[in-house]
Amino acid sequence: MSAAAGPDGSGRATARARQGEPRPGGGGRPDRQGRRPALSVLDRKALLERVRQRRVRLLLAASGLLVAGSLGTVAAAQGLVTSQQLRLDQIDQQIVQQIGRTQQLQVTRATLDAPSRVLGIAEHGLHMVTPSSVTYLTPTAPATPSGRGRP
Amino acid sequence: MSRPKRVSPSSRRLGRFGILVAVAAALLVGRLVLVQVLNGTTYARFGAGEVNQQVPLPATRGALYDRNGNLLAASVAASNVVVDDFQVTNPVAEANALAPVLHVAATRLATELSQRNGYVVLGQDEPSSVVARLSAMAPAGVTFQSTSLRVAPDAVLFQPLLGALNAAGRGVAGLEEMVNAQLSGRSGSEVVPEGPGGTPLPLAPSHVVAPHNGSSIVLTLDQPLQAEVTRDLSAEMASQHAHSGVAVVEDVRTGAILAMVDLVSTPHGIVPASDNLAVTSVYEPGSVMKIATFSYALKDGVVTPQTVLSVPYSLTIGGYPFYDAEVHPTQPMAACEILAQSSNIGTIEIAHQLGMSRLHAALHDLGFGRYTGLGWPGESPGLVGSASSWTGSSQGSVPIGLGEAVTPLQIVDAYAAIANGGVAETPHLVAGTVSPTGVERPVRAPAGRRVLPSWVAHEMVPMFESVIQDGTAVLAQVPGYAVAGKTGTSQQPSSTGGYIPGDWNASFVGFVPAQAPRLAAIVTLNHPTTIYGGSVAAPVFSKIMQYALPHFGIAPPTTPAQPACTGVGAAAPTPA
Repeated sequence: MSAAAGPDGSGRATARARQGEPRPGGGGRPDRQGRRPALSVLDRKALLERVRQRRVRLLLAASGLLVAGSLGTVAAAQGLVTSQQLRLDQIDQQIVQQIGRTQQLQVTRATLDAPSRVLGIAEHGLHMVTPSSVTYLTPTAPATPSGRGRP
Repeated sequence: MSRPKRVSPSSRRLGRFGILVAVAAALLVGRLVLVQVLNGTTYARFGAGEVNQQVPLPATRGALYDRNGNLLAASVAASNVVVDDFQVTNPVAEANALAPVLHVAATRLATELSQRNGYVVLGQDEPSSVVARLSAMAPAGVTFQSTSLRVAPDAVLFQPLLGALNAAGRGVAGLEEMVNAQLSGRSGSEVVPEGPGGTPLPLAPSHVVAPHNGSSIVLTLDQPLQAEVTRDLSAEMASQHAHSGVAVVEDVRTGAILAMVDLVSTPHGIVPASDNLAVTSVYEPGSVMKIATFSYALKDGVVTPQTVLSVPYSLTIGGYPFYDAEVHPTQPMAACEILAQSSNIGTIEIAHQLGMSRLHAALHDLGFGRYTGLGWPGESPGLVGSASSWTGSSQGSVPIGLGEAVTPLQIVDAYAAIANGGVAETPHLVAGTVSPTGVERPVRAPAGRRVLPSWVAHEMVPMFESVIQDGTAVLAQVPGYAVAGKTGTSQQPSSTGGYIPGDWNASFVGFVPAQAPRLAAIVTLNHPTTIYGGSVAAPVFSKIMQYALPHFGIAPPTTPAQPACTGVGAAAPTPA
């Protein structure tokens, strides 16, 4: 490239580089001794080419980062979805178990509540006897529905 | 002149080879079209069938509740415990471990675990608690198959009504059959791709059609009342040594059945009948059927409650003698007195004036000889012949409830129609449904039909009241309430003709409060020691109503009861 090719040939430029001299076009900063490097006029076309290449590299790097980031995001999302699906499945399973447990408890409650069971325990377990006559309290109000509703 | 082009042998061979390749390619393409296009669907289906396994997802069957929300029947998850006995290395040790959990003798389990057939069912319909204990033990070769178990927490009270399910979980009797469509729901399915060994492929897409669970049904039945009716009826059956007993309580305003009890006597005691006798079993009703003669005689203006007839003790009709229950001289009796004293001869005289065709119309209109509309599987419509099929003696037998067969439900429906001002409400057992998501929907009661003018019904009520006040059913009285009703006593027909000596049916049907009827009920006992309905069935009716009226908050009406019909004769009450 033109950055290494000085007016006096490439051999001298190499020698300068070995001696620690700044290369032409290598920037206008002074060296340790305060000497400024020799300036050179760069070809505009070459300069544009360098800028273009730099942009391409930048674009490629950004694209790479974007693709990698997207892949990472997708993978993370997939992982999240999978873990949530797993959690959902577990919750579904728990719901099914709890529904079954609720049903079982309802049946148990109804069994314990069953009039024939209560009566059986009262008569056979507790030796209670059915009274010979029962007097029910007659409702006095005009036929109002009870808590159990109308017949 | 050009020389003919010479084709080298190699080119010729190459050409032939090319043709062969082209033909082969054409054949391949043709086959490809055949497989992929013309028969593509078939092969795709065949391939999918090899890979995909369709697994049914059964719907959960709905529950049955009484009108207060008490659970009567429900399905609970259960499991069959199955073992692959080839995987059991020490059958005795495993049997000893499993026996206390499965409640089976260890020796029997050890024998079953040593069969070496690869599939041994150790327990059926085991509850989840048993499954959990077994899972924790992790015995070798044991797996669980999900099933569903139908349980009835109070089967003693409701067994004849609930019915049964078959092995496939479909209702085949009783309420389970009657409302099977609502209860059963719709099964779903899941298509699971499987490998060659039958192992489900992980992460393979599966097609799931979710099951639609069945709705639950809220019945019109009242569990506490059912318990009380069962207790009262069984006590009377025990004291009377009756073979069977039936009781039905109905809301006269809606036709809702509040209690329905069917009991039979066995050597082991009084137990629920295997069938709903109130709907499926017919019997010769006797005097409770006089409702047809009297209601249509009033409607047609043949008699009024005060019309006086001369009633002898016996009559011979069609060559057969008919008698009143007790000997009496020929005497004047008002129509209402004939009903109160249940005079057979007086009733036959009124029916004679009414005419047999009108009597048949009365029976039909009151619902005898046809289905009630309950929708009960196996319901009997009863046996009421056509007027043309009646013989000469039918003029004597049909008016007093002989020579025909009806169900107890038909009788209580007819009396409920009188109580409801002449409108017969269709009896029903379903009050509402509860969707799987818990949404309750009441079921609209079926429309009623007018069977009698309201004035006829209103005139009949005091006649039925007189049956309780000074007729054959004084034991049906309910303290504080006016009761109306009718007794019935009839013999059991023999399959060889005639009647079985000593085999009687005793019935009472009535409604209360008479001024503003709310509840109607029938009680029948088969083969009681005391044969009269007024003696054995009426007291049960009284006990039931003494409980039911306060239970439903039905106070005695403030309006006074209509004056009961008073007779002109001096006949002693004749049990009927």
